[in-house]
Amino acid sequence: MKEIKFGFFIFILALLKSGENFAQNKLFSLLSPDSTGLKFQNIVLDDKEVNVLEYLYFYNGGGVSIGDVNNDGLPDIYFVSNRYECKLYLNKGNLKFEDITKKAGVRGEPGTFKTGVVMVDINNDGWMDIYLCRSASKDPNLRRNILYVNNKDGTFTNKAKEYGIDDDGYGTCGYFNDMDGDGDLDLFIVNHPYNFVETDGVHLTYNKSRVLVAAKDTSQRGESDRYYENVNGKYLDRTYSAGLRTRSFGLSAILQDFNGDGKTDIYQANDFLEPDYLFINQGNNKFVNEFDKYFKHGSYFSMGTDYADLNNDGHSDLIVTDMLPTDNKRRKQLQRPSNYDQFDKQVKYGFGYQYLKNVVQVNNGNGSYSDLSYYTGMAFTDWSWAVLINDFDNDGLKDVYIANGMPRDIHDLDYVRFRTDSIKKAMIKAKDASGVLKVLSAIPTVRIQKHYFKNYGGLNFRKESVESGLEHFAWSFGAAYGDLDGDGDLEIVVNNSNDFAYIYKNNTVEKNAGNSIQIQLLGPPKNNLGIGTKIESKTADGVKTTTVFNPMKGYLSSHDKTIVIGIGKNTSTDLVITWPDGKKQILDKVMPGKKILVSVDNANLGEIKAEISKPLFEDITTKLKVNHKPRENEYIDFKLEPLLPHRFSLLGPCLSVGDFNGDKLEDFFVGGAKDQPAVMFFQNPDSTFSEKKQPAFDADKQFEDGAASILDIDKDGDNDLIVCSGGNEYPKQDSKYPIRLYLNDGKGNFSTSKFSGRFFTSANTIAISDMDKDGNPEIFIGGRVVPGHYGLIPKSYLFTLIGDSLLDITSTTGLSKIGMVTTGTWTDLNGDGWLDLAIAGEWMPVSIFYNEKGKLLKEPVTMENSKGWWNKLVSADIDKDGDMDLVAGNMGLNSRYRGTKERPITMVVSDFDNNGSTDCMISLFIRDKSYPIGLRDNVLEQMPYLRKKFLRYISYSNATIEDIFTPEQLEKATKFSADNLVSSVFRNEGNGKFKELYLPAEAQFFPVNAIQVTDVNKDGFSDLVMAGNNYSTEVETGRNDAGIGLLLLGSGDGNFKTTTTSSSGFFVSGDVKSMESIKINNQNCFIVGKNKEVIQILKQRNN
Amino acid sequence: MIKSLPVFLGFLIISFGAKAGKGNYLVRCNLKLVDIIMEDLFTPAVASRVKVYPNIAAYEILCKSDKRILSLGNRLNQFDGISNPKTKIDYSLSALFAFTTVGKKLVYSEYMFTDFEKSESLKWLKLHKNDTTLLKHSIEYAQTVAQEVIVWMKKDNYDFTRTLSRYVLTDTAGAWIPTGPGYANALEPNWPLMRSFVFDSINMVKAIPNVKYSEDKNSQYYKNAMALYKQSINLDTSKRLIAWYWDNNPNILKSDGHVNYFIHKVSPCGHWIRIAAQAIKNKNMDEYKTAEVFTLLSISIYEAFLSCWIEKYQSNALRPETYINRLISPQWKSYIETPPFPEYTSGHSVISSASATILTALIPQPYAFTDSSEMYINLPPRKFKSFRDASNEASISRFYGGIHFMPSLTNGIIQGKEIGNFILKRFKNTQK
Repeated sequence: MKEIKFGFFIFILALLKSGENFAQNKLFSLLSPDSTGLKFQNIVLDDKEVNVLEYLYFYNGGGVSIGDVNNDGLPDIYFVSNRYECKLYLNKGNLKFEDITKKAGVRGEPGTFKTGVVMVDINNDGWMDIYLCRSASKDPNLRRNILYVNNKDGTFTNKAKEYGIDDDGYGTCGYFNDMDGDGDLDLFIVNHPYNFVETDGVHLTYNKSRVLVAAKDTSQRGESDRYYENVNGKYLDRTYSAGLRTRSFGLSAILQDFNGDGKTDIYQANDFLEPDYLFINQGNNKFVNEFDKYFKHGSYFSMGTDYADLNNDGHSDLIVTDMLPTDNKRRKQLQRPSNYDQFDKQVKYGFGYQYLKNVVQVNNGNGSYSDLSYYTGMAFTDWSWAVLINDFDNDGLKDVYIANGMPRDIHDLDYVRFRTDSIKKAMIKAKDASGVLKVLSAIPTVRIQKHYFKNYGGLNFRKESVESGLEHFAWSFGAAYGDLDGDGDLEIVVNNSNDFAYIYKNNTVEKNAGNSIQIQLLGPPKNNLGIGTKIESKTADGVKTTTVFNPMKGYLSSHDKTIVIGIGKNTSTDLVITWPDGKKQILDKVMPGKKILVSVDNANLGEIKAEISKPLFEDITTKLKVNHKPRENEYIDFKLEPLLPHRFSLLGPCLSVGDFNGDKLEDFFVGGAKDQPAVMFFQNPDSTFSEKKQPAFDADKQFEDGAASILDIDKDGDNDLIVCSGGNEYPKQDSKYPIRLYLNDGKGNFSTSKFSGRFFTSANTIAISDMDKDGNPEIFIGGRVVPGHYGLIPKSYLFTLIGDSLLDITSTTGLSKIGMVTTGTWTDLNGDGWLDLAIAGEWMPVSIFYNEKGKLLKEPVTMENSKGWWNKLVSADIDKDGDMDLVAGNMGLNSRYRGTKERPITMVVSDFDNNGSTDCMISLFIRDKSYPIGLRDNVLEQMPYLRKKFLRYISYSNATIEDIFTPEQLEKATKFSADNLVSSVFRNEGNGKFKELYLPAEAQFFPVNAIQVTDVNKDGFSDLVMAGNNYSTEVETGRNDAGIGLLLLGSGDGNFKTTTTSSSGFFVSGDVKSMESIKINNQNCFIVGKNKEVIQILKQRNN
Repeated sequence: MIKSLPVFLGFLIISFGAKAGKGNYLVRCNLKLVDIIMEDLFTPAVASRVKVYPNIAAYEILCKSDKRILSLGNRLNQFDGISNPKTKIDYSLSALFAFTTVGKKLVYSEYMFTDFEKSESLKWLKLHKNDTTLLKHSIEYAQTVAQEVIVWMKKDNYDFTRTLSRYVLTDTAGAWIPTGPGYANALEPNWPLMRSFVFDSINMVKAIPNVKYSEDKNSQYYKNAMALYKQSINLDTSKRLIAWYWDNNPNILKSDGHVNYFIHKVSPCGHWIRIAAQAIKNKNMDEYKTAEVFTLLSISIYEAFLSCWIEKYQSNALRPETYINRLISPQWKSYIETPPFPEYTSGHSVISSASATILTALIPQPYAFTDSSEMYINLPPRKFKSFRDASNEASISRFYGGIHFMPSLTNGIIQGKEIGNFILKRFKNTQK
């Protein structure tokens, strides 16, 4: 013990020494314990009685709380020690501290197990009190939470019982806010049940109506959280009546308004299987979990949380941390492989979509949130506890600090699967019964680096841990901020396990790098801290920030009450203060310098109603009586191909629009998945739609419809249909992917042509034009995938219509094996009057086959640096210069699959083990090296022979493709790469030159599958509406579901301005696969096809 | 000096050679293979394949030196036998190396066999005056034979089954679903496509059909589940011990929140190999008999798994835990971990019954024994009156452990007997 301690000490000294030498110029300097007098360490070492096997949350660390306990204007610090003495340090100024724990009487009862701590003025006497949670002990009396009420003389008295909040749950942290709108502070405590066995398991049982449901432990001992209503200063347990009776391993919560209705809601981050909760405040002390209404997915092992405005749009955004490692080696060493069936079961039985990654839920301002964790680069930050969102460099943009670490890597797979076995057996052999510590001591221990993400605006973040002086390696848990030296920037304090606590001095003001306003709120009598107050700041240079004062956030901790608002280089700012009861006050031209006191007494303005203009689009789905929900057969592509990046069996529905019954009204066709017949909807004169049975479609329902297009096949003047088959369900039967022809009798009744089903490929795109101007149309069908053999190149076709049958003219072109095509369009790109064919696809560059007087050139011209995962190409004259430009929808940048020219995504494909299956291995760059994305177990599933090479996880965890395969194997393999995942406009510059203009950030948040060009605001410039997402990704990456539809307003030069969904009304979420324009009642409308969701129709308003 | 003498004598006793009449090197080979299988975490059906080919290779070589045992050439599906040695060899040593060479092809932790070969070679050289030429020739022949066996082995569809779809869940009533704590996919759903050694699709031993699935309280299925449930809540110490003793789950997962760990245990077929090894030593059997016992035993176990797996994925029955959670007790867990594959019939019952049938026929009877195979996980030795006695206990242990309904056991025992008897009949000529 002593030795270990000494070891830590040396380590810390070395750390501090090196830190102090060069850190002066950085944003933060780590101060040494000697210089500050702050010598706190949370020592957490296992012993026989108390250890992680006895109590699983043994390593979860301690909290820290910053607050001025003696009203000298300087914030003081309270540290939680899990097992020993907690410490209260008095701030003596100049970042010097004095340990006053004993005198103050706030030791936290050493020997019991303490967890979270928050400071609050519980009796509104103007003096900060301390609320401390306890856990672990089997004796409930040793778990009773402590409320240290400030005696105003430097001492405290535990009055938890008196106030009614000596809760004896397995406590994590308490949170105070006004939950019932009566102006006083209520209390919500995150607790957890004590039984950790099978925390990820789901047992199924029949309910009373004999429906299978997840079995739950409904006994009282299984309960967790507690809600206490403040009734005249006495706290009463309202957990049951409030609807907050839960069973979950909560690790943190945020009490704030999540839906903009002015009432305080509760977000709770839950560890393990139980998904996070968003308890929406229904008024009258009633709460309902509405997580699914607001969020598309959550993090699995949810830990810390913060909720603040990341993009300065006035809406708070949510970050929830999880635990997946940042670097390749640790990830492969620690991450359990996904289990598709288990994931599916969780979804089916009410545990939602949860992924092993942090989520950055950006508030869309319309009641929906989009997870941009990949876009912001914050998805993986290792075992992450505290997350702090605040403006640490006073530039008006809120940055993110994440404290992480785990004293023992209990997830290390070699340890779990192999080492424990030999240790246990050795113990049996040696008749060693003491063994717990022996088992534990074999677990690897690795200190990890903290994360700091600097905000560059527009949701662009860069990891700058080292640049900011926050790069240190430790096991860090609770963290808090506060302006400890009163100079106008925020210091960060971190509670480390088995190391000295960190205190980081912020150098922003010293460096003159940014100004700030310091505000202290003087709230109403029952909430004198003003918790829940919103502060909006607007500077001369137009930077608007929004800050909601809620000091109890992060993890186990609370922040100081002095609010610091960064205003950059500005010398003043205008402030609008909105108090929890809605009262407002305006402070113009507030200057930095002295802390300003803002009192609720001066709030004299009522609510100011902003004028809301009518959105440009209206959702008319329900009006039209089109209630069509395409269904899917559940084919799980991963069962055959465990290394696939996504499924190919969920790419429908396809749509085709046209007048099919000759009444001059546009009707539409919706393709069906395998075993689901396609359907046709006919427009009625009153603008509603009616479905009409089509026996021909029913007869072909075994085929999945990949794409459909209208075409007058038999030249009788009506719209016939050509439909190609898609999907991945029949791995070995080519004949299940026919290209089909359906003939129209002119009245909208279709029959299968005798020439149907003569050509085969799994395809998702059809493009038709009269390429050679001979009156017979040419039909391009782009092959998407070779079923069951991802990585092989499918067959693409070019046909010409001769008589009423297809003639295969592919061999006259270079199209046959061009790639995994997703999209193609005919357009004249060189202005010679002949339509060229532009195509793109997965792992393909944007390619143009120029039309040389009716014949396509054999070799395509490809756009430079454009190998992407393209989904959609559309041509239009975007810049009004008379030639056609291309709008190209790509994978986007909110994905784990990111690739650039320097750091491309790569894939090698071969039958490496010569067993007849096609093996694909995708690699991604992590930092400066490319590693296979597949976890060891999944790769060995696909290629069992590799097990000999990788007997243990450790041998695989650092392997690159070159380490896995021999040079000979790699030489034989087909190689793919993608170096551009950005959705763009390729602006035609003439002379065969194109300039790629990136679409705005919002267009990069999701895979763009559907694009329509229109002029929404009638300014003569082309605007774009787009939608997408991809729900069929593998489980480890998670669904791409951040897309909610987007309207981009063209500025006429190829550039576009983004709009918010609330202003556009173009709210198109879900797994959008197709979108077509359709005239309904002579108005421009868009019909949207979504996988497994109801068809949506939006009308463009004629404002 | 004197002190070390008994040690030296002991060394001689475990030495090579037909003259000594000992097959203990084959015992060592088989026990080593059991250890490696445990280390490499082979699943039960795959482990049965890993066991069988090395034994056949060793057996075939010994056939060349002594006509008391007959080659299996042309008596196993697609197997033509092996070529003859071209030089003078030590048959025992060749048999050992053929065993390890084929074994290395099958296991992952090859190094464990390499270390074993090294120490065995050194022992052999000490006893054979450092005759390195003989050693070399013996090993060369072993490798030739091993290659021949491997070529034949490669045609058993194992590689092909690796390319097929993993198990896909179905919605039919009573269909298997994954069980806790690991919720793993069903193991080896394509195993029914594996080549049999002795059967074809017509004469393959089939299990008696399972009880019809029903959730009705008056149904036999429900009654079977209720019987198991009632047993589980009154499980006394002796039954618990039996359940643990025969658990033989190669890889049990302990899950406690974030803390997971695995314990590797001897698989069912490993357990029977250990029982056989002990009997061989006790009965002081010669190397030919030893080879025969191990070979026929491992073939029987392989066939037992194959027959059992065909039934498992045909009937695709859910596990007691699933049924009891649904209808009787929502949070109920089986006493031992439920393995990840369908319930009917009980693998342990089938293979134990087949093993007992083989061992009873090949080991001089009566044979009562004390089995200490599970000492390595702190389970005390158990006494058995006979092999059948042991196999019956292995079978009932699945009921005590809460992972099989009764018909799985009773019908599994019949299935195993039929397989054992079929093989004994087929290889009647082998046993002289």
